[in-house]
Amino acid sequence: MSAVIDDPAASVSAINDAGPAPGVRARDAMSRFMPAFVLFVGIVVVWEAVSRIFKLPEFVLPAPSSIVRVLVARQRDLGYAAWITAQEVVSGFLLSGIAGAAVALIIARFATFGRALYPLVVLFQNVPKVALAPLFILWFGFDLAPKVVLIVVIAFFPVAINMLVGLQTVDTNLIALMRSVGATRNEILWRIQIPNSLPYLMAGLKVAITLAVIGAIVGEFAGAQAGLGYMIQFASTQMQTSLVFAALVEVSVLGMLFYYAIEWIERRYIDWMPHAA
Amino acid sequence: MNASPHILAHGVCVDFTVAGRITRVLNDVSLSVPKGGFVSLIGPSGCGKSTLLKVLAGLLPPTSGNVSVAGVAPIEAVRQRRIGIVFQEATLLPWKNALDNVALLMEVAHAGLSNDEIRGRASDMLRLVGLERAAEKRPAQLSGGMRQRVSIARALALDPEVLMMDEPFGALDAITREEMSDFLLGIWERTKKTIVLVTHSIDEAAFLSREVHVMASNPARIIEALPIGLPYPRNEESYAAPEFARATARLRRLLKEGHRKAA
Amino acid sequence: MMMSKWRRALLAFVASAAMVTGAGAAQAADDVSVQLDWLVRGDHAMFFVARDMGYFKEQGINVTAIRKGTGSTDALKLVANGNADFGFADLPTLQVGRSQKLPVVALVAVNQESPLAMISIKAKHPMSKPADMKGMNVGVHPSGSTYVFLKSFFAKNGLNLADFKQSTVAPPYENMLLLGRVDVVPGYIDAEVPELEAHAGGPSSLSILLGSDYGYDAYGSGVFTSEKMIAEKPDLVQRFVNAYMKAFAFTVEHPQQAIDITVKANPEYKGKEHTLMSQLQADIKSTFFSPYTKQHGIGAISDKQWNATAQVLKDQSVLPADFNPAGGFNSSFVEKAHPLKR
Repeated sequence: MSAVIDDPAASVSAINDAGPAPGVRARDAMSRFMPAFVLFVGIVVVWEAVSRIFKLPEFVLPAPSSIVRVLVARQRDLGYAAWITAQEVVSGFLLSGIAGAAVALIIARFATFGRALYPLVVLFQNVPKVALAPLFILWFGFDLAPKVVLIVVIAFFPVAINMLVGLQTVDTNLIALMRSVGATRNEILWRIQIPNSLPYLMAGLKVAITLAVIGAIVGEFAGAQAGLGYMIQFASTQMQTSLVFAALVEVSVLGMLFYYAIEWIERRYIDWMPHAA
Repeated sequence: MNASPHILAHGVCVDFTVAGRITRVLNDVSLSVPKGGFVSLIGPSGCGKSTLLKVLAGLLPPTSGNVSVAGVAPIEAVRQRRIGIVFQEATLLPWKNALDNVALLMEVAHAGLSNDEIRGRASDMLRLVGLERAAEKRPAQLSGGMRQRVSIARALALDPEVLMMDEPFGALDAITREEMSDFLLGIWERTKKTIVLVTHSIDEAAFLSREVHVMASNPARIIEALPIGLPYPRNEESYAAPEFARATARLRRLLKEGHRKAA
Repeated sequence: MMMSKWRRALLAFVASAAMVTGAGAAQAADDVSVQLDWLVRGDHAMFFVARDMGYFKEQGINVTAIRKGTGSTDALKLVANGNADFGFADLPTLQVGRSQKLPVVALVAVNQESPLAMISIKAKHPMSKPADMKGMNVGVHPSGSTYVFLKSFFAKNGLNLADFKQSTVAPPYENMLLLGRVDVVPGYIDAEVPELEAHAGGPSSLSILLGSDYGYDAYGSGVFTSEKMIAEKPDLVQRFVNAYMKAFAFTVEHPQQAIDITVKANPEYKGKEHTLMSQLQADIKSTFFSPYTKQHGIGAISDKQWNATAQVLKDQSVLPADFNPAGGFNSSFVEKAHPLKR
């Protein structure tokens, strides 16, 4: 009769938990980004060469050197515009996260209401929101509000759908077990379904942040006094294509920063799903 | 041993309605398990053994027939926390560590325990299954066998009289399975619970239990309840005993017959 | 009998209190917002001048915002909906808006002659009259005021648009012209032309056929407000127009200063003073003045030309034939503002 099993796996995981040697983490980060960086530099070099060899006019396709020059020269304007757009993105994103999570929770928790709500949500998702952008300005005024509303209606859907899958993809045996000891529906929701849905929610949030950036720019196209979308419009009416590209670079960097911020949160707090490193 | 059985099922039938047609999944099943007994249910896929276990465990009401556990209906026994359940998949919460997983059902059951008492008892259970060093580990950091042990600890935490197990070692490799069989016997000897085990493995059923109920399908029923004459405590040497060979041969024959009768 | 000194003091106190509160009441300025039709151009300078030089303040008006726009249609809707109090928009578009029940009314016709023209690059496709366009590839943008102008221009000059090769272009379409994808496009001499000129090789590098020289007699853009404003706050409308007209006169007489003020108010245009100035000069040269303004003052609106504008739209089936243009403009405000007569 043996009761205690000495498990070799336990000692192995103990070694893993000790953490990597100092300096390894930094080197890891660099090796992760190195291929992307090399590819990026390669593209820029080819682009510059093509611009010079074919003497492409600036208003057709500006060379990277021209774009960099404008980025530096107009950094204050671009920085301010990025700040304006960033505010729209962050507010819109946070609200769409809340709205999406709320919709998912309602559909999961209240079956009848969920049956009523779900098809309407899907129907609404298929309406092209960009057509609503000018109307939002009419309804909600200028400045932040119409852009935030536009972002929410665009970005809440992936959050809602992903989180809903996470809420509903729970082991039936586990639910049966919980019910057998008298867990209420709300307890099951709070203890099992919601934590289970968090990795799925993160996936939805990553999609949402990308849509939030797009939504902010589109919202600005429909009517803005400042921001990166406004700068793009302004620059294109002035035929300053380098400035258009410079603004696009800022938009992309902004989007990337936000995306990786969410990934960081995910790695730090929602780390129980096994990742393929 | 008590005279009245701990678990009693009589004439249990279960019908499922699938795509508008009624299928009889269990047909007139009866069994009895004494207190502190260890009973296995074996049979081919589709013979209803998991369904029978669910009926005994109060997870599924029978269409007809009587079931009682510790003298009350199974669902009442569950409410009185007399039944612990272990599934083939450990179904642990991946975001909680082993200790919190063991504590889960205690927290939900509102058994009137304080937080300290819950944590203390969870630690005790982990020690019982030999995982006290793994208390802080998350399920992803544990092997399959260890996860199943946590699941068993969780089932035992509310101190049920009965442990119902549905193919608990089915997802594990052969070596771990044997280790887990030893381990389960040890738990049984120490805690003296009544255990009902559903399994595919003839060897496992014969090694572990006092009585093996062989089931067949079409219709789903118990063909025979075979007592296993091996003395306890059982260990590796028991596999070599002649009684073991006799019992497993008989079980194999019974399964074949049941299969033939179906065809 | 002489008043006791206490009574005198009391009287003085009451009198000065009345004066202070009276003055205070007069000093509570009206907050208004202005909606432009597009990004900043030379002919938007009057708004910034009126604000910067204190003309609005003189009239007891506090302009809280002068917002850049996304097209005349949007500007009209925003003012009609009350999101802004006054606006600047294309007046033919305003008429179309009225036919769709937008309750907007024109106050000042800033472009007496339309700034729309057919434009080509002189070096490649010179034109001195409409017939010279034969054989050219015409850039068209099928929605918007330029399309109406295009069809009207062709019709009034005996040309059939269907006889020409047409290519669809999207604004800003100066690039298309420069790249040679199209040979001739309709455009605004007070908007894209200065930029286009700079890229095409400097002043007189373009051939320009101004619509108003060839039978296109619709108004250009102007200041407008909602029917509600006129009905409920006619005094405020008059004061606004007073300030605007004072700034209008200043702008035509001191265009460089007007542009400087505009750029100061819109710092992203720093470095673009030359473009804005060229836009304004084009208007001063070709669109602000007409025989009518000599008699009635700049910005004044005549029945005759207002109806002619409507007729252009009716000929192109943009307005229903039975549309009554009356009520779409109110020239009384601008005339009471003593506009500059030139």
